[in-house]
Amino acid sequence: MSATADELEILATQEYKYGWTTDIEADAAPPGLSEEIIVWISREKKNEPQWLTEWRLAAYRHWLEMKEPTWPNVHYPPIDYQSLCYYSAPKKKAGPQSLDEVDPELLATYEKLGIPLAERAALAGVAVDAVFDSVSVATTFRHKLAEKGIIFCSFSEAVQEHPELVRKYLGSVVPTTDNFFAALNSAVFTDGSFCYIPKGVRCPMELSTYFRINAANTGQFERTLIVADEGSYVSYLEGCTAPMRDENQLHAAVVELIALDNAQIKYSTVQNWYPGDKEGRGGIYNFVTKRGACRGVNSKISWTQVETGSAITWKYPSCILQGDNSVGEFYSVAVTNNRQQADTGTKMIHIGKNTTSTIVSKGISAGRSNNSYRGLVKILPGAENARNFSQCDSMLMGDRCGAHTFPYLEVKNPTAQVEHEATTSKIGEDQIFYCQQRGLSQEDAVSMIVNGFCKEVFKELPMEFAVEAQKLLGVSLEGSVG
Amino acid sequence: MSVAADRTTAPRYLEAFEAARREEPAWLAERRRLAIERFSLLGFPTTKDEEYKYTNLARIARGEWRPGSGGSLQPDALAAATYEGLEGPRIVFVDGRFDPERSTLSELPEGLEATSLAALLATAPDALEGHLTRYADFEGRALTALNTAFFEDGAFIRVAEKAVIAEPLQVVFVATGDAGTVTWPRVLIHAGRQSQVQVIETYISAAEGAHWTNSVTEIVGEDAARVEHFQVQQESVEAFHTGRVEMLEERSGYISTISLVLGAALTRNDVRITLDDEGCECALDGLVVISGKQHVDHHTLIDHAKAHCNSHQLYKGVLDGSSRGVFNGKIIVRQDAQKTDAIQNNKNLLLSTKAEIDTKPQLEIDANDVRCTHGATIGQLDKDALFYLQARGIGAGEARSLLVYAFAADLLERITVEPLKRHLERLLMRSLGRDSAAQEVSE
Repeated sequence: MSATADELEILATQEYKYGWTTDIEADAAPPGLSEEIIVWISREKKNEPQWLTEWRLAAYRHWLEMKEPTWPNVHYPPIDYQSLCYYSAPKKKAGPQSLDEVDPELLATYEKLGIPLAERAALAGVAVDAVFDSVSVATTFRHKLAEKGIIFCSFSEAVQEHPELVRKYLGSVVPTTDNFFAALNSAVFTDGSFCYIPKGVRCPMELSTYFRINAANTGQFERTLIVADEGSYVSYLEGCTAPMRDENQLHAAVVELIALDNAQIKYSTVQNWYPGDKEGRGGIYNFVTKRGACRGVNSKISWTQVETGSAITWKYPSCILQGDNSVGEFYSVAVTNNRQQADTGTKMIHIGKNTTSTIVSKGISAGRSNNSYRGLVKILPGAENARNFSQCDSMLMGDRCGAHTFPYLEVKNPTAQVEHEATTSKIGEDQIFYCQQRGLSQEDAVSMIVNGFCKEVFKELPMEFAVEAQKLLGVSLEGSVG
Repeated sequence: MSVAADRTTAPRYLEAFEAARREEPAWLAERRRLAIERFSLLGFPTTKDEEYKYTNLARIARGEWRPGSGGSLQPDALAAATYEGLEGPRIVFVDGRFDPERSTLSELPEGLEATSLAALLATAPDALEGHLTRYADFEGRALTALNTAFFEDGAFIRVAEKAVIAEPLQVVFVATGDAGTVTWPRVLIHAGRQSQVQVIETYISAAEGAHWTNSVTEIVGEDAARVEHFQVQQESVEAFHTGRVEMLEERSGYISTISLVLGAALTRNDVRITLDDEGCECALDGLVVISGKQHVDHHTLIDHAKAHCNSHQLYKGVLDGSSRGVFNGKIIVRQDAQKTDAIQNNKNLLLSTKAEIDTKPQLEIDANDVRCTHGATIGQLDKDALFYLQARGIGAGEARSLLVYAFAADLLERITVEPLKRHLERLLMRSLGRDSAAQEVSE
């Protein structure tokens, strides 16, 4: 257990730790959204090829006809999309070649965040493609990866340097017309990460990206595309923190994963964006579309997420199990406190034969928050011998919070075996009593029990993330049990 | 609301409502007027409505329906609703209207009142005011609104305080079953304090037409009352059946309801209960055995409004042919409902490659000291078990039947009325096409 009583005590008294604004001159578009803005972003700022500009415009035109979804179990004031600013980039210098050339103020920001690039690269062996307000500023370990033929770069670079790959896979999992927020993202996305693992290559390190939302009033729309070619393996980590704001910030990202024959992708997320204050003021709206396609035989996509931040989370990392024998996994811990709202879950679409999926979702609600699991398991007629196991457990801390589950199971093949289980409970008084009897403080006992409750998910996380996740849990639940 | 509703035929219902002139108390006329107004606003739900996502009512919504004529029936028309060995009182309705000839109400036990709603409304309507139409709200519910606006007759069952009724009461709704006819069955069961009663509702059709039954049953149990309710639906496989059971329990009450669906082309049952005071217990169960192109949808809702209540649910489906089963079970635990214990299970057996099941068990919990679990399983017959039976000389077909029977058996065990249980066992075996096995099992 990483969070000892002392640490919890310190954490409990602190406000959001990562809340500040870095004073960097931003090169931003005027607020509002129109075809001109999109063309400006695409042509002027990003120097994109014609097909991509057209693609964005098509998405925008479709978006204009769509309605914002109202079915999630979340409530927020209407968003004025015309008052948002759709492009913001830190002051740009001509291509920094090394860390020395990077704006020192940016580097200081990373220091505060606890990810000193140079140190981290050397000590942890992690390549960090840090995204700072939409434009990537530094990339490490690229040449090391390049030796293996792995492409890991910002999305803008990928568009310039590997347009054929981007064009082939972009939008093939999440089409521009998929949903309201995906369409918006397709129209205005500014940057993100691109990763391609060539045939038979096992990526030698965990790839990781940090996203931060900085300049006020800028919704961040990143786009992540990961392609694992035949027989390859990659583990990708995504971690998030954002500065404190009073106005709600919109975050509508799209993540697409593609696994070809015998390929494996492991995608882990720790999300700790600003959740708003105790009264529910401020905080991030996190409306994200994440989807992976197991295109090839024996392919595997595994999603692991720890969601502790954001005022509102609306996110369903999904797997389309197209290839025979493909495997989809979803492990999730969602913690909500104060007035946070989370509506999250997954979709497992079984198309190929002998496809297997596992869903383990742990929801913890405290304070006045609401936590919903919403999932779909769909077995299509051709999916012979498909197998699914789902488990959704909820834990309630306090009497003003809510836990909800909305699992949909649609089965069109009799050879399928589908099981769904859900439980809701509170922390057992007996368990706490037992721990206290053995000299643990109440807070310690709670932290231990909650960590035990989430163990199944944490063990799926890469080690350094698991440590961070356990700490986050302690912070998120501070003072929720009395 | 506009996309999720079909209002094309609503004016027709409004006209029919205006045309009907009834002699009835002002309070009921007022409720009916509210109901038809509500319906004309709502229209029929479409599959765009989340509650009807998997069940398409278009054939009902677009149909031109006329009231059943209540014409003559064959002498053996009630055979399907007769449970061997079950005597006791019986109240029969043909096309939704009371049939005194076929009913046996002469020797009602003490403390039990079972009458026609229409008769009571004409003579002593005061007993109904405050109860009839008060439990099954029609605010967002088009089908209940229609029944409320149009029902002509139905059963009123009142159990006096502390009365314990030994023999089950049977309520039978026979539809003459001509294509294009609609009936509006209505039942109100009012169990007094500490009373006990068993009620069996049976729905059958006398002919194989595409008729429509839209029923509403309201059950209210006062303090510590015990009501066991059974609903057996064996209508024609061409028929449409939409039903609503709305229940309310007061302190320390117990209500169980079992929905047994074997008939109709399309069935949609909404079973809802509110546990309105502490110490209540309820059991909602269902068994669906269908094949061909049949479609059965059960939507249940258990509203835990107060603390210290228990609820149990078990719904099982056996689906053959290209049939489709839908289950949506919602459990709401309100903020005050601490110490709630709610268990929900939905188990399904798919016997053919074309059968389909869509299930959605749902929990909405706002109290912290509760224990709620739900589970859903979908699978096929266990190959090892089949092999085991065959290895011991039991034919493949028979082994299959035995296993299906075993799957459904724990639900049948919950039927406390022995003759009804045996009847259903036989029906189940027959639908599995194994008459010989049916005899063995029932012996």
